[in-house]
Amino acid sequence: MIRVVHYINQFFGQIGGEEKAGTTPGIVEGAVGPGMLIDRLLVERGRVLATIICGDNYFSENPEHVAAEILPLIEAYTPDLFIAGPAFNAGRYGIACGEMCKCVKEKLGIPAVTGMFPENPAVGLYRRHVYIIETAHTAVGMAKAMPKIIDLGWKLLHHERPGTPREAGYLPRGIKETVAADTLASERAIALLLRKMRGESIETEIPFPELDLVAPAPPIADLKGATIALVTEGGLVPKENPDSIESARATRWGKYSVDELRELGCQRFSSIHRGFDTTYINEDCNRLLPVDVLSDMERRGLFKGIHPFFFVTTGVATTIDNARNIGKGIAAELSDAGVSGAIVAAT
Amino acid sequence: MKLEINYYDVKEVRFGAATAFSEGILLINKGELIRLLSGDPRIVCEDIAFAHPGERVRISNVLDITEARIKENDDHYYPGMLGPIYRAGEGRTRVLRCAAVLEIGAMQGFYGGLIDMAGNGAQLTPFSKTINICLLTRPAPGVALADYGHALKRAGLAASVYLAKAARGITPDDVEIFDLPRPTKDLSALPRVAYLFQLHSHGESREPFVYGENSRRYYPTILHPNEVLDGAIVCGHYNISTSIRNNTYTILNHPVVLGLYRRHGREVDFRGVVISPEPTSLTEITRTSMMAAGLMKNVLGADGVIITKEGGGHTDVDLMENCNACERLGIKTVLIDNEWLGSDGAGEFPLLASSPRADAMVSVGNVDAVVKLSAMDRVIGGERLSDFGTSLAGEMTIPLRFIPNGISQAGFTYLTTEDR
Amino acid sequence: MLEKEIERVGIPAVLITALIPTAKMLHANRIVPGIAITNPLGDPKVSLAEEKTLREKIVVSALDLLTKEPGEAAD
Repeated sequence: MIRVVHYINQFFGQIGGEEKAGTTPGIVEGAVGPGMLIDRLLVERGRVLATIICGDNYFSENPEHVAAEILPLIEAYTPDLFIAGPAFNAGRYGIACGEMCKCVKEKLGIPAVTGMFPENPAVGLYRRHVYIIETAHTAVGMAKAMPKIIDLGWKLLHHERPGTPREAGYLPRGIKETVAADTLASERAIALLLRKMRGESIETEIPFPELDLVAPAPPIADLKGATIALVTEGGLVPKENPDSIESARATRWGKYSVDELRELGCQRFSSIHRGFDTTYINEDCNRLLPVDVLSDMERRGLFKGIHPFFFVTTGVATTIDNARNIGKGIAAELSDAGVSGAIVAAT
Repeated sequence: MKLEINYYDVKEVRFGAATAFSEGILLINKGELIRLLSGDPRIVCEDIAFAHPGERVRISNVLDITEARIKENDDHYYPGMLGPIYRAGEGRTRVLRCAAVLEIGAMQGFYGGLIDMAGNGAQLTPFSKTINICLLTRPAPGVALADYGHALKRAGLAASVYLAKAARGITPDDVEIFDLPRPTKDLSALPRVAYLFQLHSHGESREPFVYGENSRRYYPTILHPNEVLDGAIVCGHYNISTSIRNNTYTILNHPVVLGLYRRHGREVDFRGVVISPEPTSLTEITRTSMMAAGLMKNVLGADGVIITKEGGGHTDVDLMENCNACERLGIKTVLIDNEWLGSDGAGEFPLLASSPRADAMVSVGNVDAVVKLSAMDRVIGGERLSDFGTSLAGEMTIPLRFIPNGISQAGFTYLTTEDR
Repeated sequence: MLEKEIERVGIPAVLITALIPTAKMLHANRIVPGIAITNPLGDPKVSLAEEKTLREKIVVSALDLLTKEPGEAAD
C-alpha cells in the first residue's frame, strides 16, 4: 500500500476562489477534491494519506520559503509518493506545484509528479527538475491527466524506467540521454538536407533554448522632456468592456483615457482579469496603474507628461503568440505616438 | 577522375612466417613488421597484437586508426605523407576491408582512446566490428612529443601500406567505382548538394595533414570527393581528445562523402567537397567562412550543403559562421555536431555557439555522457590511459569521449541524444 | 512579454511585477518588484497614505530604470 501525500491550491481544496488565494498552508487527513480521483485510481495499491492545501498567492510570492514551511507537514506522513496539482495552465498554481515537487524530491528523496499545460510559465522553471505530465489547459483534462500522473509516479517509485516523454506523457525535461538511432548520423543528415531543400517541414536534433532576448532599448536621455505611457496586462477596462477584451487568453487589447482613469477611477473602470482576485484593484485602480503618483510627478515637472491613453490586455494564460501580437500592436502605437518610455504593470 | 577500389575482406588475422593474404586470412610476419617500424630512431615498436570482434579484449591508448591500403600499381599510399606527392582519387586502390590498423602509443600529452571488442562498450564504436591490428609503440628515450607524433604517424601509415601489399595479385571480393561523370546524363532535376569539411587547425599535433601539409596552411579549397576517400587527408592530431578528431579510417570511409556519392545521379547531384581550416581568431573565421561559402555558391553551384566540424567548443563558432555564410547566399545547410550537456545530460546550452539559421542539426551525442563498460579478460596497449586516472582492467565507467567514434563529428556513428 | 515588444521597437519599458522569477526567465530587461499579485502597486493592509508612499517608491524606481541601461544599480 503506497503512501501518497497530495498538494492542491485553495480552489481545488474547496476553500474558495481568488479571494482565498492568500490562504496559508494547512494539512487535512485523507484526500480532498482531485485527491479522491487518486484514491479511486490507486484502488488497493495505495491511498492519499493527507492533502496540503495552500493559497496560490501565498505560495507564489515566496516559493522557496513556503515550500520549506510545508515540507515538515509532508515529512510527518512518511509518504512514498508526492503528487501536486495538476495545475493545468494556472501560472501561480504551477509555481507552487513545481516548487513543492522539486523540494520534496530533493529533500525527502521520494518521487514527485505534477501536471501542467505546456504553456504554463512554471514549465520553463521546473521541467528540468521535476516530471510534469502534459495536461489540457483547464480541469476538463483532469480525468485524462491523473492516471498518467499516477502511472509515472508508480514507475519512479519502483525504479522502473519512466519511458520517453511521448510514451509516458510528460513534458520533455531538457535532459538528454545517449541512445543508438537506427541510421547513421551522416544518413540522417543527408535525409534532413533533402527534406529541407524540398521545403518540407523539418525537425532539428539540437534545438536551442528559446531565449528570445531583446536588446534593452536605449535609456531616456532627458526625463524632464519625456512622455511616459502606462501599459498593463491586468485587464483594467471600462465597466462595459467596450472592446470585449477576453478575461483569459486575451487576443485583443484596448486603449482608454488616462484622464478618465484619473478622474473617475473605479467608478468607471474595473478589472476583468480572471486569473487573480481583482478586489483590491477594483477598490483603487492606482494599485495597478499608478496614475495618482504619476500625475503628482508630472505636476512637479519630473517628466513632461503621461501619454493620454493607457493600454490594456489580459495576461492570464495568453499564449506566447497572442502575447507577441498584442505586444507588437501596443508597441507600434507607442512608437507612432513618440512615447519616450513605458511602465508595464503586471499582476 | 575515376577511382576503382578493390576490397579484400579480412576474416582472420594470424602471425605467420611470411606476410600474406589468402582466402580472407591475413598472415603477418611479426618480426619483419616490427623491424620496419623500428627503423625510425624516434620510435620503438614493442609488439604487434590483434583483437578480433567478440573477443573479451580492451584496447587502450588508441591514437590514430587507419586502414590497410595501397595503390595498385605502386608501393605507395597517403601522398605527401609517406612518399611522393601525387593526386589521390584516381586509378586503382587496394583495401583490406573489415580490418583496421591501430596506432597504440602512450605519452603525456597524447589523448588515447579505448575500444572494447565485446560487452557494453562494443556497441559504442564501429571498431568493435573490425579486426584490429595494434602497433604497440613507445617513444625512443629523450624524444619530444611532436617528434614521437610524427614518427608514430609514419609508422601507422607504413604498417598499413605494408599489410595491403600482401593482397597483390589476388582477385578482390568486391569492387566499387567512384566516378562523378560530366553531365552526359541530365542531372539538372536533381538537388545540387556539396559537403563542407571543417578541419581542426589549432597547432602542431592538433591538426590533420592534407597531402602531407598541416591543415592550418590551407585556405578553404575544393577537393574532389575521391581525394578524400583515397588518402589525401590523414589524421595527425594526437594532442586533442579522441572524440574531437576524425581518425584516418573515418576519413577514408567518410560517411557523408560516401552517402552523397552513392546517391549521385539518382537522388542528388553531388557537386564536391570544400575543406576549410578552423582558425583561431574571429577575423580569420569570418574570412574562411566567407570564402568557403563563396566556393560553394559560385564555383560548385551547391544549393544544399552538409557541414561537419572537428574540435572542441570553439569550433562551434566556425560551424555557425559557415552556416550563416552559406544560408545568407541562399544555400540550405544541415549541420552535424556533438552536444556538451554535462554527465547528467541536463546542460541548458547544447553548443557553445548558436544561430537562428541553424535550424537543421543532427546530433552525434553528448560528449560528456558517461558509459559503463563490461569487464574484459585482456587489455592491449597498457593498463592506464595517459589522461584517465582509473585502472583499465575490469568493469568500469568512462566518459564517452574516450571511445573512438563513440562521438564522431564526421557522422560515423549511430549514437545520438534523446529527450527524457 | 509586453515590455519586450515595446523594447523591441526601441522604447525603454520597465516591468513592475511581483513574480520576479517568471520575469527573469522570460528575460525582461528592466524589472521592478511589485508588492503582490493582487496589488502590484498598493498594499491594502496599510493606510492610504502609506500606500501612496509605497507606490511612489516603486514608481521612482521604475522611472529611474527607464533612464539607465539595465544592469546599472538602481534600488
